[in-house]
Amino acid sequence: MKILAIDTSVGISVAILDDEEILAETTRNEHGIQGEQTAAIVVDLLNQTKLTCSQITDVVVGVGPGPYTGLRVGLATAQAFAFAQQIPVFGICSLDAIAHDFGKPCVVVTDARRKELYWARYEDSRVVGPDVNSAIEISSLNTQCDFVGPGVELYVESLSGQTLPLRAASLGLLFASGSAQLVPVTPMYLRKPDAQEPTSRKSVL
Amino acid sequence: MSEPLVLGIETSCDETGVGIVRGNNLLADEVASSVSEHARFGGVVPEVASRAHLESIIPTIERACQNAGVKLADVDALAVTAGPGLAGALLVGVASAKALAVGLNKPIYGVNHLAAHVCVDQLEHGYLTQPSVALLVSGGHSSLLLVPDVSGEITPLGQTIDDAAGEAFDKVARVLGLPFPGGPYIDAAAQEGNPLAIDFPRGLTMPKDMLKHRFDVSFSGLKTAVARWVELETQKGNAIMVNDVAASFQEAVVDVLLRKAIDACLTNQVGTLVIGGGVAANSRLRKVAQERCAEHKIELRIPRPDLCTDNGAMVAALGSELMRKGRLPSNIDFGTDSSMDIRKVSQG
Ligand SMILES: [Zn+2]
Repeated sequence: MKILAIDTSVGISVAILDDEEILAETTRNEHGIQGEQTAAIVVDLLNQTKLTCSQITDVVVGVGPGPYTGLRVGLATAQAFAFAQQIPVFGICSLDAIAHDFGKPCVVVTDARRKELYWARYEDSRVVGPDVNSAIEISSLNTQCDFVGPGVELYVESLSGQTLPLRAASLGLLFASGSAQLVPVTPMYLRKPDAQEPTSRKSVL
Repeated sequence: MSEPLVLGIETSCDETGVGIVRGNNLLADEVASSVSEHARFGGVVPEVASRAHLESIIPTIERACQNAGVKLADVDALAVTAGPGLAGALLVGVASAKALAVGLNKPIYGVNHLAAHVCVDQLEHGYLTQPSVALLVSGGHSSLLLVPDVSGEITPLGQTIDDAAGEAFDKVARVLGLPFPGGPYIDAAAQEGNPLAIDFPRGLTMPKDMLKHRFDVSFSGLKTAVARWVELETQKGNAIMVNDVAASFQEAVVDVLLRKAIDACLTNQVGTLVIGGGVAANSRLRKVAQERCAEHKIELRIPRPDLCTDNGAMVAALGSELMRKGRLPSNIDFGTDSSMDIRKVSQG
């Protein structure tokens, strides 16, 4: 099994695995470069591993939660690559990757912008969430928990714990080990689109 | 050897379009529109459009391949709209097209949406006459272009200084209580109305405008004039003759657009006018364009209405033209550009 794993919910993370062995990975914690760089990184990793596209057997993608514009790039990339190769694509909640890396019960937090965080609580697996709240709300909902993930350093005053990156390789490992909690390949949108219906006919004068 | 098979993807606004061409032969043109989801908001909501693109893109590609009778693996190149358009919407199309290019190991062209609107006419009427003047009118853009070569050299002559033509249709439709998008409803209402009933203003057509704004257009004043007229009549207690207002408004838009377009042809000694964009589906614009071009002995080219509105075929057509002219494909790390300049036909 050769797995291509992609996540663009935080920055860009792409990995190629041979079952549970990570062959190559790139993680860049930058926003706003997903559209330009995701496909380029896939090409780069294929070159590094000397694999051709047709040798990839499975695509795994983090379906968020994450800021929508960047998140959609990963999903679009994963589903189109899988479609081109006629191979299956599987979705995993992105936060699960960080909980897997931490390996102990925790609350994973990532930046949701607008002074909020995406979060989920884990015991052996995800038991609460994902959801979106302020750091203060999250800490009061989850007392005496370890907070982990890129969201920790943003709210050190409310959350104590460890700033861990989000690695697509971990999504690949979860999948390869058979312990992944698979979800539909569609973004976890936790907020409704910002749009208001016009209440009455406005004068355009 | 047969001409290359090109698959084009368009997601710059609310239509998920996938077209497949071989040379100038259109094999499939599939569009999934999210317009009904935007109607209650009275305009396109970017986040709603982006969500819809991601859901529709693969099924639309699948349908296009089926209808074209080709296998995805047979595609020789990908083309995708890189801009201008809604940033988040463009990204879905570009990310999908790039992944197809990687997965199929084929070149990709990130192309300019406006140039694609011009190029699509080649699918219907054959290679463009060089040079041509192009009038592009839609909800997002209103431009007058000089097109020596649609694959590499396009010069802007003028554009709207405020609202796009299609935007004016939407806003006037709202004033008249007609649904969104306004274009088709105004067109239909106008068929039953008198275009000479009300003398609405023709923006930027006065002698004083000729120096700075000779080939620019403006529809904000017209839109306000219509709204003011409706308010005043309502205050007076008069019933609004929606059909007459629609016809008179439409006449003003059509008159200004064609005056400017014909002037551009004559001034630049160009014998061909190409009209594209969603507003080019307007029946009155098509009819008056025919009359005035005939009068000035200008060759008129307007694609059939479903090729005027946003679609994937136009993107595939431009990709095909770029290949024919031996233009280099884009690098895999090319970006989207929501305000992409028309002078740039494709991304490097
Ligand atoms: Zn358009």
